Amino acid sequence: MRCGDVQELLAAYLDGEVNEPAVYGEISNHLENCARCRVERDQLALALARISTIMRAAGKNIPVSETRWVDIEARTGQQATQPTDELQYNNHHHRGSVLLTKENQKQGGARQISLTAGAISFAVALALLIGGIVVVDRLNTRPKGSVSPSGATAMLPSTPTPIPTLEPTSTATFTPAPSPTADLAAGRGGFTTNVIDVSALPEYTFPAGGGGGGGGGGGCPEQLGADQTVSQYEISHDDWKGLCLYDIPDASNGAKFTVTLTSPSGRSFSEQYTISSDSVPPQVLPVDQGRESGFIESDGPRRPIDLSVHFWAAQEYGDWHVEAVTATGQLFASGTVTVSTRRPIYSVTHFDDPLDPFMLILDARFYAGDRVLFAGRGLEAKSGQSMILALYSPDPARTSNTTVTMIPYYATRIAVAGDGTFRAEFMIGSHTPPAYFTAVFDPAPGAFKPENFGMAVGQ
Amino acid sequence: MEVVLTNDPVDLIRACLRGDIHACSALFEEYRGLVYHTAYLMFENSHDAEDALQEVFLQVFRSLDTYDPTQAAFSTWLHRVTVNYCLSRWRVSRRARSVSLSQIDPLVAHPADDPLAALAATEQASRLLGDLNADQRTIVILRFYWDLSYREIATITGVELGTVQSRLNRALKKMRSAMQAMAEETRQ
Repeated sequence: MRCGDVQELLAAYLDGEVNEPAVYGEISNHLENCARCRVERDQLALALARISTIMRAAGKNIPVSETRWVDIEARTGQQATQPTDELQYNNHHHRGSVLLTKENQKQGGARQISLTAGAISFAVALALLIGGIVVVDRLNTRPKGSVSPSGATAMLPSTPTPIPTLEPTSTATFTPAPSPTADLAAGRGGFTTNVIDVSALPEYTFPAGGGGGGGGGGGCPEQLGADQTVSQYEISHDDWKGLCLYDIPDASNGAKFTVTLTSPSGRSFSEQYTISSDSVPPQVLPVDQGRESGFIESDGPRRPIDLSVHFWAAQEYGDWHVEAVTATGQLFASGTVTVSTRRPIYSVTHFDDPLDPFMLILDARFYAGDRVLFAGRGLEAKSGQSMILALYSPDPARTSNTTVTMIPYYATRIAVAGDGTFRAEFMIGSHTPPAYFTAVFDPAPGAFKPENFGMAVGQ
Repeated sequence: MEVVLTNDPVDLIRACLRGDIHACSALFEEYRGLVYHTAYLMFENSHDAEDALQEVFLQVFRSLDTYDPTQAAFSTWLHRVTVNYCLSRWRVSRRARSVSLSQIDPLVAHPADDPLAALAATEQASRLLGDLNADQRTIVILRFYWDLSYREIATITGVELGTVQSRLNRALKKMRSAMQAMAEETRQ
């Protein structure tokens, strides 16, 4: 890949939207060796975070809509074929009627309400607008993919399918070059426990290209108790989280403060930041290079500092203590955040890596002699079970610009704990091929289903 | 007549289709923010956003029986209806407005605790979005405001995944230029 190709894909790469393992591996390899693209990656990551912050801040200022349900009722009544005086009465009568809000849904779950006689009359008018039959449950009977008269397309026969359907070319026909058993003395790498013979696993051939996945949400919450000075939110689908610190006494240009995170077991990580008002919104820059940065959200009275932090899957989860002090030692934010994940996340790190939450590591690479820790969290569906974790890589002899053939190199059986976590150790041998290995759970004949993590091995 | 409602939008839709007016109103209350916020960020004014809110929900109730829960979440379907409305409205008017949100009446439009901060945030968003065409603006709102994945955006906008990526890249170039300009103005 050339620099131009990589830079076209960088936003998708940073967004976790490059799921095609060969492409992801190529980008990672290129970034490893290209300082210019690494700079572009870092600048783009900063820009993406700023844009998210600005958009969230603008969203908080959107005024409350003045349109009420009665306005919609009135217009549906006008457009129905039989508007009546009774309908107008119903509009008025309905103004104070029961609306099922998020809160009472959450509290009550299923809820019984009474439908008034007046509302029934309006329902008839609305039903005429909707298209007629009042009682029939068409959600269960309509043909798939039909298109509404208004152009509002029901979902959706023409939905793009960017991930190609992948068919295995064979099963159990491949004998991998490396031994499945780690033996560093012999130069062989591999998992250290519960090794599985990969000759029993399928290989896959599919067209080059694809992508997809991702998602998230966020922004420092504004609705906090007056005495609450710390909160957190989930930024994206992986380990990246937002840490919010409120009520900093001095947010002037050049002001410094220090944040300390303490894990449930008592391990502490600290970072010192400097405020820079040169950018919009004001940046919060780490004093140490390579650390994560943040912003000050300027749209609220408590001026939350929005810091990016990382809780790798291999890191401790649970209740972390947070403290922030100014350069003069004044404690301005203190509290506990509960670190968790709503979906499966993974990390591939050096075994003894301290997993500093203030560090952003985008493209770790491993070399002969390294101990690698594969870890996962949030695998609720598999908790209490064991799974095969297999590492696949393209077969260079059978991979071209149009076709990729993925073959299994290493596999182990992992036990998923009751809390949805797993850990597996891998040793890099001197004969371990320099390549990007993508992770697959429980490989089986059928579509290739790579997980969104893997391991890059350098030469 | 007793009607059971749950917090599942599909149950609300079913009840609405059966003529349960409470379910229809609950559906509106639950999802009005999705429509209004997207429209507001597209048009940068409350007048057009209010129009969008009403028109989109009229369209939704008109075509509610065409929604297929096995194909997509209701929010995805509603995003699509909203985006289609906003794009058609945008193209018809050719964005005839001559002022942006931040020039209308920011202190009235943004009832935040700190009106100057509200104005700053709104101005920044307006500058970021200002150079984008309708398609780019749509994708930026879906990606950065609603935090949707490329695939969800492709489904909502009806374009290929690669098109989402290329439009987003072009939008990012423009927005980074705008941010650079804002930073330089701040320094001066």
